[in-house]
Amino acid sequence: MSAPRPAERLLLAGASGLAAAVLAYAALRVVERAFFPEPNPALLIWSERSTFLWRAQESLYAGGLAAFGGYALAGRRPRARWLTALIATAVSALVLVALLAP
Amino acid sequence: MRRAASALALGAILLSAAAPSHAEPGPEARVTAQQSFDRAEQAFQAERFAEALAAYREAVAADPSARFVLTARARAADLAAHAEGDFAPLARLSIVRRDPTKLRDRAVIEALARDVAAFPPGRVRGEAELVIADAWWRLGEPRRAVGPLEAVVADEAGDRLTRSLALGELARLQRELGDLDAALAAVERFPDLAPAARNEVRKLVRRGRLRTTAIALLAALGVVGLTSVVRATPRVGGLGEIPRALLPPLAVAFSLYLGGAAAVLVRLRGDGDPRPFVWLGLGVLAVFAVARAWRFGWGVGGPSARAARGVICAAGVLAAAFLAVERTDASYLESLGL
Amino acid sequence: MSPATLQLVARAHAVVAWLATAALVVAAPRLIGRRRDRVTLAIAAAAALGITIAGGLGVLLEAAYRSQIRQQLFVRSPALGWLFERKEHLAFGAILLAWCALSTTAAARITREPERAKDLQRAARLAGITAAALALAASVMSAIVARRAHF
Repeated sequence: MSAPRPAERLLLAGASGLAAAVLAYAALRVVERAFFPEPNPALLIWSERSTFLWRAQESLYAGGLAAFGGYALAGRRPRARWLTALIATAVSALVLVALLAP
Repeated sequence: MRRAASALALGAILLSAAAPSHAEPGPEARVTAQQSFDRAEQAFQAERFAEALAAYREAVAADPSARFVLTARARAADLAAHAEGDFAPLARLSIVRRDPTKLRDRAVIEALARDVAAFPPGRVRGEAELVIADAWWRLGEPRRAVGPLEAVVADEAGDRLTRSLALGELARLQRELGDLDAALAAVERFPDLAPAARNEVRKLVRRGRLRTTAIALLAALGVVGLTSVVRATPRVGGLGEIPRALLPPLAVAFSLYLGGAAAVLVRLRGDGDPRPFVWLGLGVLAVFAVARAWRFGWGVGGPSARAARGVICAAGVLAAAFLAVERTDASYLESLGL
Repeated sequence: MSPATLQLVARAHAVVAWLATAALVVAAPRLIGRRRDRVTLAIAAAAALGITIAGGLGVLLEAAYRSQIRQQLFVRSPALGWLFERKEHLAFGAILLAWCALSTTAAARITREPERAKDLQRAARLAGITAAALALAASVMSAIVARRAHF
């Protein structure tokens, strides 16, 4: 196997980070619903913070961490099947959350 | 039979309705009640407690509808609850409690402590011990407050609320004196007396044990790291090559991101302390360096060796994370029950 | 933001979101067809950019939604309220997966390993198709809520 180019590794890192961010978003939503339930939206007149935006920011942070792992894997593994698996897992998790725990 | 019972019940209801209502007190009774109340207040201020109790009761009896009746009833009930020894202990305590200068006088506190030993069982004894404990604490001799507080807690004849308060104060005092084991022993001896204090102390003990374990683990990793660096130096090509070998750019970038980005997020959020995340990033970098040194110094090893190394270093990361939070802002641990 | 500006931004958000969704749907068959050409890359880039702009406009509307609309929406119909929450989750996923598809498509073009290129194309296909599906679902949900709630 020839060494992957830095640009290729960076692109793979970005892709894995983005997919991991989707997975992290779904996981954060589940944790929120389980341990930090918000008040009934019909009764909540105003909230200072947007939980959606904070969840998005935190999931992007988690995705950033995963991107480093993706960069390392891209340099070590000749194949990239793990990326497909990661994307599939992330999409499944997000759809499940949207269906069951919006 | 049923009809007879119903008729009797109806008759009783009618009779009670027809009975004359309690007579309103006349003007003389109101005046008497007011005078009794005034006399009671004066006696209470002058610490003639027996006289005050009697006068409060007279005032209530003379005019039960007077505006001061609630106050009089409350004071009478309180005095009756502190009546042991014909009010002598209460009078003795009041001499000290009402005078701030006496509360700052060591000789007065010591004299009170000697007299308290002879007090009969009851509320006054417990309250007096609390006053003594509080006085010693304010006089800068907190260790002398331990005895009185323990006495209140152990006094099974004392008021439960007073004992609970004393146990909470005793736990707090022991913590301030740095004796967490003594605080734990105190709250565990009477587990139902102050559940909140017990949970708090248990949490602190748990945190202390975790802190000790984390420090020990990181110290052990540090020793492993140092010995590994010594062994690895010739293998990587000299001491000058050690930084590059142990801290590859990716690891440094990851640690900076881990701590830095999280700190930025916390700052943006506005209500958190970013320091734990900065220390976490540095801690992770250090553990990573130890892991690399270990690998270079002792070889890659078989699967089980690699797994063991991985588990130990992962534990090191957790230890670093725990210490980073516990040393900077322990409130983050509250949500984890630590 | 003034009510007039809010309306303008809301309309722009809807238009850009639908255009981006269309671009993602157009890009998807090209990804299935295993093309690695520049046109595919350009369409994927335009779609990712478009849906990000739509998302950015949505972020601008978020505060107004939270303060003025959300509670009323849930009072009127919890089903509509939860539908909009679902829309937010799917929209976020669509944005990230669109960029993921772009990254993997670009990586598939430049990699020197044929086997890896196949893996990356597979990943790009999955990310692109799911991004299109999520974007379409989010757009439809948004349209349903906007129509029924009249905002």
